Amino acid sequence: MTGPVKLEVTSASGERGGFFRRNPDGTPWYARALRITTIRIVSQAFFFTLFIFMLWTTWFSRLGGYPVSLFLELDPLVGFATALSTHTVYRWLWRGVLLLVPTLLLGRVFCNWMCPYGTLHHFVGWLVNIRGNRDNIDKNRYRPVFQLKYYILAIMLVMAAFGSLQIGLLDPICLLVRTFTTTIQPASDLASTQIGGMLDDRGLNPAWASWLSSAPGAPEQRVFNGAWFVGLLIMALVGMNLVIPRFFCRVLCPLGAFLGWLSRFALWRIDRDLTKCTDCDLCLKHCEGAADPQAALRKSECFVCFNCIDDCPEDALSFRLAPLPVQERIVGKIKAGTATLFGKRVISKIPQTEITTPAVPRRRWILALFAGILAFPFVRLSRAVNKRGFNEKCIRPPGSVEETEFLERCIKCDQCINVCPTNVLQPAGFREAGFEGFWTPVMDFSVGFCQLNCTLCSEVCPTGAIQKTSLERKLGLGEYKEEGPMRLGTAFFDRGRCLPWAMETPCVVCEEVCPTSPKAIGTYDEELTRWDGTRVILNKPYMRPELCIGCGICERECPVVDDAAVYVTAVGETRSKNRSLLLESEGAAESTERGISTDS
Amino acid sequence: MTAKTPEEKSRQEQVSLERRKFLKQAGTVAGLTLASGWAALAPPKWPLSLRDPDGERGKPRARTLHLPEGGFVVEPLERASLGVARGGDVPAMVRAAVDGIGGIARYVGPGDVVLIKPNVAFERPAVLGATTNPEVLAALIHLVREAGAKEVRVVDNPIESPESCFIRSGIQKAAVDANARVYLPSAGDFETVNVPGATWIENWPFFWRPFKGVTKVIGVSPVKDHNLCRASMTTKNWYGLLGGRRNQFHQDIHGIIADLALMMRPTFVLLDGSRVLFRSGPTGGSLSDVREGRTLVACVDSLAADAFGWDDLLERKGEELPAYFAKSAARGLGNPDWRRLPMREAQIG
Amino acid sequence: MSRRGSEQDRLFVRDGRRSHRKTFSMTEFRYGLVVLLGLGLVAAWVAWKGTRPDPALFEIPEELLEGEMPSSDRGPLPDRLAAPGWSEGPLSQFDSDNLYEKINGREDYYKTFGFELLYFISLVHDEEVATVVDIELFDLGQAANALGAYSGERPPEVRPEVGEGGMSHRAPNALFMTRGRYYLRAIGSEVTDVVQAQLTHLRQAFETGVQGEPLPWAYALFVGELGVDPSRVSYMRENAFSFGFARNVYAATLEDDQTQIFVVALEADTVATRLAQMFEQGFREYGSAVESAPGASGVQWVRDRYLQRVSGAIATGSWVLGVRGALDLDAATSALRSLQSGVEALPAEVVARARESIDPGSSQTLASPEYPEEN
Repeated sequence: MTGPVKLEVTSASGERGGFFRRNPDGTPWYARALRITTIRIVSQAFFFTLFIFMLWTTWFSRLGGYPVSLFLELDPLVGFATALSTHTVYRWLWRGVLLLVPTLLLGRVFCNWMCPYGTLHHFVGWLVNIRGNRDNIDKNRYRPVFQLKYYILAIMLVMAAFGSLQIGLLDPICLLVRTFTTTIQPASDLASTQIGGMLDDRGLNPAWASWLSSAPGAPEQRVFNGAWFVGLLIMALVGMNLVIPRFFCRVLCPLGAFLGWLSRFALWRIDRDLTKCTDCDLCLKHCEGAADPQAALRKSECFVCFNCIDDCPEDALSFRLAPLPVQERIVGKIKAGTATLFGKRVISKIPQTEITTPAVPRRRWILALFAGILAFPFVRLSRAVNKRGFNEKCIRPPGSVEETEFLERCIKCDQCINVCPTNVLQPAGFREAGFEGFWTPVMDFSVGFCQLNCTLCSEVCPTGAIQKTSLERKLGLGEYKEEGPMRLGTAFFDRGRCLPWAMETPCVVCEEVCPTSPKAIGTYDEELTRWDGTRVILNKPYMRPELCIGCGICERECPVVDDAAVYVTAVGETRSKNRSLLLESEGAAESTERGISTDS
Repeated sequence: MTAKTPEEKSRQEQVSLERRKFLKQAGTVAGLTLASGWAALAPPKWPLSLRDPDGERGKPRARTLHLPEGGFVVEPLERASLGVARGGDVPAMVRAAVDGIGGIARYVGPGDVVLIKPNVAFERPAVLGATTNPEVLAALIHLVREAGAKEVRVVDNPIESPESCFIRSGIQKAAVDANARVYLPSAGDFETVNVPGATWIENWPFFWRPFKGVTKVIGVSPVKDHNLCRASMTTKNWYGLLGGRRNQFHQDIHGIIADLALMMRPTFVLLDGSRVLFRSGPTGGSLSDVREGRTLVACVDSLAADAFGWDDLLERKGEELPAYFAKSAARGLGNPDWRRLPMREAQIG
Repeated sequence: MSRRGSEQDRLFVRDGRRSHRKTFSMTEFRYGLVVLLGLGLVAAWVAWKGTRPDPALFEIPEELLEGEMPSSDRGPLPDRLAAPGWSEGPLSQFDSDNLYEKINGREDYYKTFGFELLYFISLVHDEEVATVVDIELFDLGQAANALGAYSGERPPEVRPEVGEGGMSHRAPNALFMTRGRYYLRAIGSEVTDVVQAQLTHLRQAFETGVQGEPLPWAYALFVGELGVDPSRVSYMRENAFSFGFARNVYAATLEDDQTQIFVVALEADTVATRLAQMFEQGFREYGSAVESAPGASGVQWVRDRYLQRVSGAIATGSWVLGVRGALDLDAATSALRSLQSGVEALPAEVVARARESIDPGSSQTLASPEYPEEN
């Protein structure tokens, strides 16, 4: 450590004598109260609130016209990586450019002004920070491990270029949306139910608690596959703030790495005035990015939080447009104390002021590149995502593009899962979609079913993995009559478990709920004498595969609840020729006719 | 006693301090031991005892509730009559149908909290006939409000996602615009209700929350073909008040519907035959499954109303009535022979 | 983790936002305001977007729905035709192209009364399947046509019941009535109480279920002003008195059962004058003038050469008034005079209705030069 460390710096005396008093330098009180760090906190609170609001409104009755996937669309890494994998920019993803502009001008402002995940870490880090000043200064020094995020980014971008989009695993926006969807919102749903019940017991309107609910009108508490792991992850990542402040942002965040790499071009940066700086290191006290403002500023690490400017007792730090590199302009010897800069005496012992690029040696970039090149075949040649041996329960939501395209697009943000009114959409585990499709949406008909007149998932999908689909198209009406309705899979009967088939017990809930017209489930009606002599009429169900759209409501409503006697698998889904079931002529209308002729 | 030196004195003080500390500590130990011993070992009936020798005490005790004895009946079944209105002007028809059974004032008075149960089982546009016609619901709410009802609640537990069902069917808008309160089912809204004498649903989860404080219940259901019980009308409509494992009901659907008739004794029912889903029921989905019925029927006897619907609206006169009619009638829950009931018929427009 | 004494541990309170800065800047403050403004704009944009939902997400356009609702068009037929114990058969419709399928031989009669559609439905008794009531409901376009068709088929000895919306009469096994533009014939297969009850039910059903119309304007003249019984009024849409040129003629038979007074409303005086002349020529084909020149009434009376009856017509304004088949000249003159005074006394509202009822096509044919040759 260099220079004297003054730990007992008293604050400017202006603050002592009342909030509205002029500052000692003569500026009015609001120049202090609304200084740039205050504005930054307002901005963080604003964007965090906006983020929560967008998630809250991602629900049928709240959706309106809100751009609910705005943060995902603004995320330039999403736009860039999908452009790499698909060579296109889908729907609203151009919005990512809106973030590139401030990044190229000012640096990683996103990280500490807008990013809700950054705000969460920042806030939690502040909340649990019981360290003294010296500790804080030590915790906020740059460490080599911060390079890790660049390797993560490089590997993910290389994989994306091959067609396997994995940024969503760690992209902070995707990660936070997923976390809210599968863990935090369900928790607040529980709270809403409990508080609603308490209100109701006191004769008050339970609907007053429904604003707390992320899924008002859902008849049952929503469940999410593997929520425990997502929850564990967020607890671990947030908990790491105790060990290294902003651990995720500094060490893991691929978006931060992406923006950090871009920040090398930023025109503005924090600049240290060597003629004022006493090397006290107080600027490190609250440095969010661990960007070494006390020495050579690491542009790619700086979050532009401006805390250093606030903490500098010498007014040596400022945010400047293209500051001059000063090291070569120093005259005299620093060690001897004779150095001057533009005629002023240099006080600081550290002459460097800037490190532009990420501190990643070139050889390590190459290593990361190779890791990415190898990772692609590892994940893609797993059975679950291959066209041979795909999992029969990898049933994608309506409007999903063909599986390889899907894997090029899906960022695992789970917005579709958030908006799904029946809870049928679930984050995939390794079984359904392998590592490559981990957390991508699949339908689990033991939880819900795909509601006929609903295309909400296709509306909120930011990347077109679930392509924006009109109802007309989903149902095969109007101009889509030729194509016919979208099929998600095909339902099958397990006659060994079906009540009328196997147990001489009347049932056919499946036929009742089948939403197609004419119904895809027909019955063979049979009257027989049971073992105990009673006469029963059994309607034994069978499937008319030409009419089945794979919505899964039969499986959901089947009374054999643990392992339903009618179940849907992915075969027959419209999006993939590989997975079709019936021989079909090009005119899909013909097959419908075949269906009707059997229906009499 | 000799005077103590200051040294002795402070020593003594120290000792007494130690003693006090010891006594405090010993007291805490004794207290904790005693309290935990009591809680664990005292017989279950004693106060503050937690003892549960056989594991029965720890099981959750289900609260069982009852609907009011005699239901929400104003006019006894023996005095049932049919109020039939035909035509196209829905509000006038609703009024005429209810006038046909004596007028709304006979059934709803000032201060009543009225629960209306439409059928919103599926998320289909109203024209597809799978759900109650929102116009009929709106007119009924207005009529009930006119009679002085303090509050009107619109309640159903649909099969598909409740919000989508209520919104897409137009029921939500109709109810809210008519100043009624819509209750969508949520996880905490169900309580076990005891239905004395029921075969299958003697104790079954019931959509209880909206029933708190309710004084009158009106069912308003469409006329639908049904794949299993053949016709879904006002009696089957009460299905939407239950929760739990409803998908088991199909194992004896007629027995269940007879139980539903036993469970809910409404103030009156309104059979909404403005449209008739005559095939592919109960979901429908195509306009060709629907025809215009242009008829509304009000009756305090849901079996009579349903039988009328079977003959006149589903046009299945001559076919044998589904078994649930006989089962319910055998319990004295109504009279499927609607021709024996006085009938007031009105033609509107 | 090293701690520097407990006085440094400040969970939650920390050092607040105390800053070590010595100087502040107004420029910084202004940039801050710009940022806040930007945040406000973002919030406004989001709120604005929120109020503009994509309707396709929430509503299913009705025209997209599959299938077609089976036609439930009962036309003007009330919903409930069958009395208790009866059932409706299928409903069929006939237009002028296939009307003969239903009423072969009589179709021309209805066509002269502006026939548009025939609705046919049978009511079958639930127990006695052979007992039926056939309902024919003719849509004749105008109340005048319906009344005309009705009057033409009513036996002269039967007096109709005149209601506000039309006329009707009952036969032992049949019901005939008009409601507005519709003419109903309901004929039972037998004369029994159940058929009678069904017919009574039908009359009620039609009276409440089909919109009536006030009787045509001529009834106000003949019945209201001149006191003629409504059953004596008739309407001839075409070919009145077998004159091809005579259309839209209202006539009333006076108490002597011989003399007919008639009236035609026209849109202009000139047309009326010409029509009156054509009537005169028409009458002359069967007789000769009573006097060499028009008398005091201005009418050239014509005496029929076979029956010795006196007929004549005159244009009064845009009306043509006439008397046909009077016993003698005096009777004819007095009948015409009372008709004239009746027309003068007509209320303005009736005159307006008469004007409205004028069929503009008729005067065109009348005015065309080749018309007489055609006749």
